[in-house]
Order: sequence, then structure tokens, then C-alpha cells
Amino acid sequence: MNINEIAAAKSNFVARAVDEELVLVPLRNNVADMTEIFNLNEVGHFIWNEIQEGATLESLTEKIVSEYEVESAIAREDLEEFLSDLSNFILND
Amino acid sequence: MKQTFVLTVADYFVKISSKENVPVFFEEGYSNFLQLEEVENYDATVVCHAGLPDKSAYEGEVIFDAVLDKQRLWQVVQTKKERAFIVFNPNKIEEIQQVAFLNDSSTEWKVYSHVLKQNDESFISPLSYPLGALILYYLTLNSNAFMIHASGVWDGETGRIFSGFSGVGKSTMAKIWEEEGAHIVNDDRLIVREVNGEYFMYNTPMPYADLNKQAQVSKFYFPFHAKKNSAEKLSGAQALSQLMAFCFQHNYDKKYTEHLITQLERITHHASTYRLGVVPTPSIIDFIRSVEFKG
Repeated sequence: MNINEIAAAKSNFVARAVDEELVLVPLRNNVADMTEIFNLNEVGHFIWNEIQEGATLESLTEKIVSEYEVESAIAREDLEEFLSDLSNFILND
Repeated sequence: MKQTFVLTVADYFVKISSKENVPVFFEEGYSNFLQLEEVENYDATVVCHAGLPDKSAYEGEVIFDAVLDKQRLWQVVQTKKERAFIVFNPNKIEEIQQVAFLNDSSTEWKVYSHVLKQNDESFISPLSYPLGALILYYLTLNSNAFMIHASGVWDGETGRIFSGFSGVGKSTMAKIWEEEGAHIVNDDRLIVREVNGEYFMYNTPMPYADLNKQAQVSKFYFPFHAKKNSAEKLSGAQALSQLMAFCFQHNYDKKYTEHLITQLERITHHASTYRLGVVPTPSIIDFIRSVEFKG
């Protein structure tokens, strides 16, 4: 997974915060697959906001650890899994 | 020959006019949605022309392509001047049925229709499917409204919408309610619109004739076949994304996507939404009412 690619692809989505969550809707040029909508929970929402060009696994892990009460190793493992899912959704779009 | 018609759907008024020397024909489903009496203000206008324009008039970048089951239904093309909608004949692949041009504010349509003939009589059919539905969809983008694949029923007290893909039981649910005395607003496509803080569902012209109907709506259900009736109340992002999955949406332009999300966010604060496991028997009615009673 490439964080810079995810950062670049963010503009192809409309993101709307609903309470603590985030709804991601892909912009499309066809009517197919209109039902692909991605919901992020509070932590996913936080990470989405922090994903910018130049961000790394290390820098994102640090931000998660400073925001939430979680051990660095667990945060990193969960982050990798999350970015993999996110990458599958937005880069295969 | 000057011809003017007023299309009234979901409390929208659309002026349809033509100065062509061929009559304007409307499919049967429009019969109860048309009136001859003009109104003061229109939500949109449709000026009809006989014959398709020169191809150069609608050349440009294809920004949206509606291809379903390998058949191209219509395309949106950004020309140098405006958006063009190229609509293909659903029964004759690749034959252009209409070419329509829409202004930036989505209120003024110019529709060029293929001239049809029957018994040596020429006529045009500017709202032939799917263009009529497209015109209605673009009306919803200028107001607090959205269009959804759903059936809607009104039992005299409560309006309920059942939404989902074909085969999940939308029409079956509508029939079960009808057999218990409820009125079906439509069993396939609805416009939901906010009027003075209240939400109403409206039917739209279908391939068959039907009355022009509306009812208040306060409950949304997403049915699926199950061995036992069950209900799960949805809220927040879950409710919004579930609703969005079944709405008409042309997400080639960010502002349309934003508009739809805003509408759905508003209605999820006003109406209840449930995922509904359904055994398709009349017992589902009491089940739904008990779920609503419990809140």
C-alpha cells in the first residue's frame, strides 16, 4: 500500500462526517457500482484526516498513539490493516 | 403549431413547449401528470425540437456513461457550451432517441427528438424513457429532494418506504400492505421531498398509467429475505449510506454528491430507518407496527 497514492486519491471522494464517523462516496463517471460507499469509524475518520502527501506509517502511528490510548505496536498493526482495506477500496476504484 | 403542456410531478411544475409542426406525444404513464393550464412559476422548462441536431453540436468529453447489462442507455457529454445528454433507444441499441441540452443551473432543457411515424402520422416523444426520468432527477438537485428505487405505502396514518435492489421484496411488501388496505404510492421509483419541514413521497410517471400520488413519509426500511421477521434500527452514517445505496445519483459532479448526502443526512434526523428481515406474509405488518411502537 502506498500512502501517497491514497493521499492523491482522496480528491476523488466526497467525505462527510456524520457524528464521529465518516462516509466516503466515490465520484464516478458511470452508473455502475453506485453502492460502493465506505463508512469509517472514529479512528478511521481521524486517520483519513491525517493522510497527506509525505505521511508515513511511522508518522501516522505516532499521531494515533498521541490521540488514543493504545500501544505503538498495536496501533501500527491496526493501521497497516486499515490502510490495506482503504487502499483496496479507493485505489481499485 | 404552438403546443404547451405543464408537467406536474412531486409538486414540481415543468413547462413543455414546442413550435414544431409535428405533435408532441407523451407515453401513457404521463396522462395524469399533465395539465394544459399554465402556472406562474416553473421549476424547469423543456423546449422540444423535431429531429436530431448535427453531431457537431453534441461532441465533447463523455463525463458520465450509463451502461447497464452491456447496453448503453445514455451519456452525458460536456460540449464547449453546455451539457448534452445523448439518449439511446432502449429497444434499438445505438440508435439515438433524443439529444438534450441542459443549462448550468439544471433548469432549462432543449430536447431534440427523433421523429417517429405511425400510420403515416409524424410525431415526437420528448419524454420517452429514460429522458423523462432524467429530467425529474435533475429537478431534485435544485431542491430538498432525492429520487430513490423504492416502494412506498401509506396506511392512513404512516408513510413507509421499502428500498433495495430488485428481488429483495419491495413490490411484495407493497402488495402485502395493499391487501391490508394501505395505498401504494409506487412500487419502484419515488421522489422524496421536504416541504415545510415535513417529508413527502411522490410517484413519478411509469410505463403504465397511474394517478398522481403523494403521502407523508416517516419510516424507511431496507428489506431482505429471512426465515424470521427481524428489524435492526439504523442511525448516523449507517442509515445515510444504506439510503444512499438506493438513490439515483450522478456522481460525476461533486456538487450533486454533496447535495444528495445533505438531503439524506437531513432525513435521517427526521425519519427512522431499519434493516428488515422479512418473511413475506401478512404477519410482517403487525411486526413492523410493533417495532415502530417500541421505537
